[in-house]
Amino acid sequence: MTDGGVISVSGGSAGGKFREGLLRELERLIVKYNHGSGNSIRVEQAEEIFHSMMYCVAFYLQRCSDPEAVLRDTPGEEVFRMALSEVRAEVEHAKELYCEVLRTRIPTDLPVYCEMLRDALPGFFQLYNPEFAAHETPALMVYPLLHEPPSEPGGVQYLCAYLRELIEENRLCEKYSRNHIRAVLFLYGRKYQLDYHDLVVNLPEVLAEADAEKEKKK
Amino acid sequence: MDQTFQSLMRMQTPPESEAESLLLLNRTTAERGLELSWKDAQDLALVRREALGRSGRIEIGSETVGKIAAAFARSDYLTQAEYAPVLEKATEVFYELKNESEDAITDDELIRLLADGFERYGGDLERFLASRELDARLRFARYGFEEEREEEDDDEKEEPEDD
Repeated sequence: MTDGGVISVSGGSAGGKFREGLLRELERLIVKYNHGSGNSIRVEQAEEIFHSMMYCVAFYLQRCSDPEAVLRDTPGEEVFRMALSEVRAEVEHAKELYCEVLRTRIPTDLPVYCEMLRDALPGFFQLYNPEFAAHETPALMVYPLLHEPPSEPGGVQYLCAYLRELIEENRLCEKYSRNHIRAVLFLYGRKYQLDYHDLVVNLPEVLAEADAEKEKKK
Repeated sequence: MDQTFQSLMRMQTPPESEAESLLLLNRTTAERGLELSWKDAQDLALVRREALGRSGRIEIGSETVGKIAAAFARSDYLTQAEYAPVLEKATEVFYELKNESEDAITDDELIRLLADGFERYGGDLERFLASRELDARLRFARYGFEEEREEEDDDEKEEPEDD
């Protein structure tokens, strides 16, 4: 059964077979991780690989109509391989979301926003390793969102949630021109005696604040 | 350690089965007059588990001890009396050295290194393990250079130029 991404495997022969299959798959991954150069590995590294496996399996089971049946009837190796395939498909979906982010990007030169689009997000796709570190988020999303997604589960699930939120926020800012955004940021920076290029702020939030102040003055 | 991971690890080969597998090594080493008794095999299985625990490592299967036995059995310096103790020592240090080398050296290379060292030091594994030669080989595996060569380069740089 799954509970918030944590898998607990029941006892009995079915649970035992699932665990046996998982162990065989873990062994295969450890040998692959070592590039065939050795049969032993540090416990911490083995645990990380195991967490990665569990991340994939939990992700897959969340999408199954009857996860209990899957755990009962499907060998552990097969469950993991299908799960890994699903995570890889989710990475492809994340790339599509990233393209949509770029297509709808806010017209601004705010470095924290631009560097995220140019460096952090592509960096994730380059570094993310679903086979050995599916649970990790190898990129620092410094740009703050209006509604930050929960940090757990990390990995591609976090990235997709982040990208979906970013697309929503990009759309919120569609009505603003580049010049207007620059002016708002300039004034915001001046208010706090900062160069606006150094600001780490959420653009829709700052723009909405500016709109609200403008309304008050009317 | 994660509980599910722990329970998974407990499913690995039980010690008795491991000792039985080690006895199978006798089939190939017996022709050189080297055999493990049941107690030797049990002790060796235990030494391996303890060495893995001390070094913070886990192992898939238990081929390592078999490979160590096969490599050392070729040595003319290895007698029946010392067979089990030498295998135990080599197994103990194997996992420590894997950590020291940060896994930069493969299992086969390390086993070859230990067996060659045993041979070159006339069957005195302890002396080889304490030697600078082993340090140098591990450093080379880890960093890709040897200290002695680096020191020679520094000496050359310090030599004054001729007028």
